[in-house]
Amino acid sequence: MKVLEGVKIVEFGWAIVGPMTTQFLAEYGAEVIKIESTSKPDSIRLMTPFKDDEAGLNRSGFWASANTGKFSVSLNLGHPQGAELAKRVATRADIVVDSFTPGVMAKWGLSYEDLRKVKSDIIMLSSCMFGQTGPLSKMPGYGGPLTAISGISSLTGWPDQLPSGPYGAYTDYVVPRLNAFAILAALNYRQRTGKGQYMDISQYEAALHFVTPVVLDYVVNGRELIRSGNRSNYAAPHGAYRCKGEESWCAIAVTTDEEWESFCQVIGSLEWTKDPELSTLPGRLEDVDKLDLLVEDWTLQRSAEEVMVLMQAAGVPAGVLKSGEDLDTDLQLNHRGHFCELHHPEMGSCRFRSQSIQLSKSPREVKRSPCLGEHTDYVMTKLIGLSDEEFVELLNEGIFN
Amino acid sequence: MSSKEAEGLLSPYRVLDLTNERGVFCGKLLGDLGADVIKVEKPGGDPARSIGPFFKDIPDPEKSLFWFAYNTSKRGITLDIDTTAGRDLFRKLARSTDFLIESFAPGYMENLGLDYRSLSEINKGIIMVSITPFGQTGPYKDYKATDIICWALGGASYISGDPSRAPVRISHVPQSYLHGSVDGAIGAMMALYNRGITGEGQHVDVSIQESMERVAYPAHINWDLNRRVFQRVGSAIRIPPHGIRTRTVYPCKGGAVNFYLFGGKSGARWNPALVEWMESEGMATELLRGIDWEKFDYTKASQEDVDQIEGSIVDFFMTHTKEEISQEGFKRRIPLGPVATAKGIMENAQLISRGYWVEVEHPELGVSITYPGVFIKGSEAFPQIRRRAPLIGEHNQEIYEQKLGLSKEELAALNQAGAI
Repeated sequence: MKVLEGVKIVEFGWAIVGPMTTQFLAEYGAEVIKIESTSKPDSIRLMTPFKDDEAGLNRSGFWASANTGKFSVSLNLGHPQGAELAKRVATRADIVVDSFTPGVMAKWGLSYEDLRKVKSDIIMLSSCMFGQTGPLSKMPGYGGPLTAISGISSLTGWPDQLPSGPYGAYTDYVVPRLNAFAILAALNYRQRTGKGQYMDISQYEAALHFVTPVVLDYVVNGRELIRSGNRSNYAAPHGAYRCKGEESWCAIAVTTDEEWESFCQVIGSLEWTKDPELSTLPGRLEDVDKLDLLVEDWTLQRSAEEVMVLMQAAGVPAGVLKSGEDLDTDLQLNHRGHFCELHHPEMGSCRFRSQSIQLSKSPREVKRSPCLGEHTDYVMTKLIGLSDEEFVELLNEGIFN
Repeated sequence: MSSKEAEGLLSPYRVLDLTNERGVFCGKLLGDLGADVIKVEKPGGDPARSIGPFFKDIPDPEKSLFWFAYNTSKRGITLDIDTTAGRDLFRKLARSTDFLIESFAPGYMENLGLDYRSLSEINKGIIMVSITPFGQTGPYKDYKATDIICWALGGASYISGDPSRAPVRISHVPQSYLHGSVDGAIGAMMALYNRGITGEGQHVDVSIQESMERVAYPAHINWDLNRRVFQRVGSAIRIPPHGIRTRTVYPCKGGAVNFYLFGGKSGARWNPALVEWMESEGMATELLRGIDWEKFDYTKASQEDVDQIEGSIVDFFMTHTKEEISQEGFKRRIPLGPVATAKGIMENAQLISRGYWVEVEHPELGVSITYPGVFIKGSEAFPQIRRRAPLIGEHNQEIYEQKLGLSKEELAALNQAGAI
């Protein structure tokens, strides 16, 4: 039995944060119904990459990757009957997740107060950029700016350049995890007490937990730490070293003196490694630029894979910088069943990614992402209980647009 | 009832936390929501205490800001499970715990007879959470990994950073450990819910590499869909199929801001607003004024066009500070975020108005320090951080004497034997 079997979730999400939050739970057995609109599709459904570079609402790999395992229902929330139906779907569920700007759900009659009147123990999570209250609450949220505002961008890249940031909207991959954790804590609380609740999560407030030490450093030491490439104050050599071949890199991290000795042996006890200055970490940190060049002299002669295997065999942390192609064939990821080959009606055969959690007594399962409105009929007639006639009537009135 | 004593979401639960830097955040998440978390360290303290930065730059195991950050709300004991006496004590504690979180190399706990199977025999409800770089099994399970290695093998480094330099990770805070730790907390909660139905616990096995692969989101998708190897572009994003590069970071007066010309529906909304602002200050170029954003299609634009557009925006931003730009952006509904450092974060009005920051006492340092608070606000009980991170062995007496009922003499003997 999957751990979340029987748990029903309805998602009013857009972009990445709301959708990825519920996606977590779908993989472990929750029934997730995503409310969309064919007349106002989520802009992410039109974000590249598209399968075969052909645009289409059901062809975005980006969208698909954040929405596996869900039912898709199209509803025109602007129409009173559409909103009413949405409320029926929502109040049938245990958990409602939304990531809209504050006020939007209330406008549709779908606020926590509205839903609670129908289902008193409902759990609702609203996760917008800045939270439901405060001077900036009405600002629409995007992970790109949030990554910058939360200090992450300034911590990534080289000190002599503009911050490069990690690729893309990094906080979009931080916040859903924290959201999923919060929802599950609430679910457990309800299992224990019978009480539901409303949770207001500011994506900003959540994301800041990933930079707390930097904040504390400013508070106690008055310092504003910024990016330092691949350097570490606690390890040397430490970085990504170019290897033989195009865009071929291997990361190496030598922290202890023991690892340093092993490292030296692996690279053949070259003359430069015998410099007594280098035998301690502070000594190695003295001139890291030179050290890195010397290390790279060695790595440039070998493939990234070879560097990793040789180092790991000697107990030195090292890892190939995997590209998208490398990830696909990575032995460890495949051992974990990380990519699941599934057939999608429009995109064909795809390998959808899964989460990182395996449970000893309960399976996880990735199911393909839905086409827009694919399950409107099923959800409305089989789960909500509309008759076929009612359904067709509403369909003709445009309620399901 | 003060907020410190208020019932929290996870108040009834007990946690034994044996993690090192890879997993400490997990216990904090549970503890901040009310769980009774006991941080178990080897006598002398966990090596994670040597991770800086440090309070007043003094490298001391009781002054690590990393340790402070991710061990709030926990009590602390010392215990050496490598000794027989230590293991006996540990089993006593495990008998009545709900969660056990650990991040040892796969096989370590099993060798000590403290794996899930053995522990579930003395406590059938126990939920064991293991957070490791690659998971408990597989060809890489014995590989050694630090944060940069997890970034590398998860695919997140390859796609990050300036193309003319080495791919990068995020500096100063080991992100991969945090992702893995949150996943551990998610797994713990799922297993708890399931235990509510079956009466039994289980083993939660987290792979940090898998956690990071999600962070590297465009990498695998581009390969899987179109056999394209996604390359890093620095402070930009690339738009297939021609790989047109569009900035995400724009320099401005005294700093930088985040902004992107999204294209499509979103760009159609805010790009005109930006041009309008530029126009009002006489800085909208002819090229910019001539664009119909409703029709602008990135997939058909040339790199030259995009560079020209961006260049005129850079010229404009250079006349304003990041605060000015983000404030005006807010008014005009243009997503313009300052590339903030800690100072900007501490001064952010939104956080202050929501009461985000909490003062946590550090009596032995003679100060209280400002911390980010619990990130959930809501209708039910959310106590704040209950205490600072524990000192080494701070609660040995409280837990060994009061909880386990050991006498002072027994404690002293265990101390002598190095078990505590």
